[in-house]
Amino acid sequence: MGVPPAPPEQPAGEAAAPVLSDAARARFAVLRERFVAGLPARWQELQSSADPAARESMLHRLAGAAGSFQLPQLGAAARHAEHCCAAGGGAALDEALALLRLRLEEAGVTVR
Amino acid sequence: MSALQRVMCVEDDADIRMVVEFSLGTVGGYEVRCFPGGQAALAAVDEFRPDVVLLDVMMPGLTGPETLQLLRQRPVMQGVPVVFMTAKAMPDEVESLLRHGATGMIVKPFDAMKLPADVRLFWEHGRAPGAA
Repeated sequence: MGVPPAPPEQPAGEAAAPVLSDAARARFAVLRERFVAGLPARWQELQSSADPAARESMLHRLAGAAGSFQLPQLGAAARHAEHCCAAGGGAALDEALALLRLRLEEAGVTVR
Repeated sequence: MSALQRVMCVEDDADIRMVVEFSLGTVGGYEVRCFPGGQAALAAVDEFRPDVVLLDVMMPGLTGPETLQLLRQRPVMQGVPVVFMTAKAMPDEVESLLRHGATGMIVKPFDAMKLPADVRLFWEHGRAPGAA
């Protein structure tokens, strides 16, 4: 039995972004606004959680979703905080959360 | 060559499901069904008959690899490409996931505007020769 060729880890070539209709753009904007509107509650939940695993999970989700909603800096800050959380927290996590808070504010989110 | 029409997505994060539905449905024009977990996907796969499946790796309940193993037992899934979606794409983990029989991986976060083209490439590469 022969060895099948290795599948690609990512698709070959750079896929060009399609030209979106105004309706599609508007739809994405609505979804993005809905996501952003939920961020204050996420931040509160993150702040109030004392469980490191739960915090790491929240940060993991936030990182994945923010980037996909075209908020790359917020996503990167959440990913960094996730890694700090996984590494045991401490001062590094405090700094990472401060940066995340800044990125949230830059995204137009009012956080307390 | 048949057309790519139906995409199944198994993802526990509601925000990611929302982006995938927009991306593959509105941008890509595919019929998309998203499920929050492996059990729900397994319950629907025979009826939906996906052309390609996107599968989150870390999920409560059935994990992505466990879901893939069970999906592969279904006749409708023979030759259907399955692509893992993960935020953690370290080389050893990528290799491990591909050994489970996946066609490839999409790293989260992904570009919602380019995802349909990426999925199409995986479908073209990964489907069984002669598949309907």
